[in-house]
Amino acid sequence: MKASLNKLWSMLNSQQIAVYMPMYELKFPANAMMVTKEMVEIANFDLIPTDLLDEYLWY
Amino acid sequence: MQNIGFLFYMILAQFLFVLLHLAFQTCRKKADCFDKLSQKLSKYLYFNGVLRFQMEVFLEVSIYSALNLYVHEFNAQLAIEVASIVFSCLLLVVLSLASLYLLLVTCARPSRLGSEKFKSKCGAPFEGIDLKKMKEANRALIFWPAMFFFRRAAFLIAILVFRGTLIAQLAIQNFISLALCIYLQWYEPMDSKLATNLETFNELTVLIMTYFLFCFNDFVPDANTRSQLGHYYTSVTLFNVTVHLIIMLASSLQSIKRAC
Repeated sequence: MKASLNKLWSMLNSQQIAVYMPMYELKFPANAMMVTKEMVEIANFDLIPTDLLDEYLWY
Repeated sequence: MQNIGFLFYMILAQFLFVLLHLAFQTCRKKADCFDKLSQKLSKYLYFNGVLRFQMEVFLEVSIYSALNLYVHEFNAQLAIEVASIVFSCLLLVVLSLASLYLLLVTCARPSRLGSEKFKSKCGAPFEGIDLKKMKEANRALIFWPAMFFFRRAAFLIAILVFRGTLIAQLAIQNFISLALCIYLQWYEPMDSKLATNLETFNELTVLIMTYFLFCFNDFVPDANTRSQLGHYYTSVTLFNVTVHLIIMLASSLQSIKRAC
């Protein structure tokens, strides 16, 4: 289990670098942006929607 | 703060665990269950759980905090804006100091890295590294966890400081990935050949993606060509994820087979 977790962290660490590449001053094609947009949520652990909680907390 | 999303609640949860642990510590003499819960939380929190959490959120939190400070004016009037600026400063300071402290402590006495006590307490940044090699006085092994934080800080500096200089941004990214590929294959810091090759594969993926980035600008004026290159860029990303998932599945199945 520990070895698999190591590999999971390894994958997530490399994806974290990859998903922030559109922040450079580049003309990213739309297809790459679309896939990166989906990968961002996974790489940043933003899997659970918090819209309701944010509404109560911030607005 | 609301832009961080679920991560904000994860950070709050970490503080909640610390408060819970303190509460259980004070009540542990009253009942056995409090003592057990206190020990469980202590085992997670201090410090492997906190370190792993810090490592994984380091990049996103640093980027959001730094961008928040970059965009906001420091003479903000609204309370929420002031709170946002203070929170960003606090997060950046805590993340930077914690990482620096960890690296200084390990550099000062590398001999204790191999001890079981160290691994159970603060071994998270060194997971996967063959710490027995430290006995051969190979301090180059500390380079790997140091580069974990350094490359993220370099990425942040590249997108904020070198905002108008694309070539500098890409050069920083390119150089770091190349240096890490060379480091991994030269020193072989991981505890197995597979782990070393997997990390090298990750760095090569990032390097190849950086080469694609050289084409996503006015050097390639045709949008259709950029779109085609985008397909290949996406394929490289997904290939990396697929390889990792297959290896994870295979190693889990192997563990199950060995257990049976």
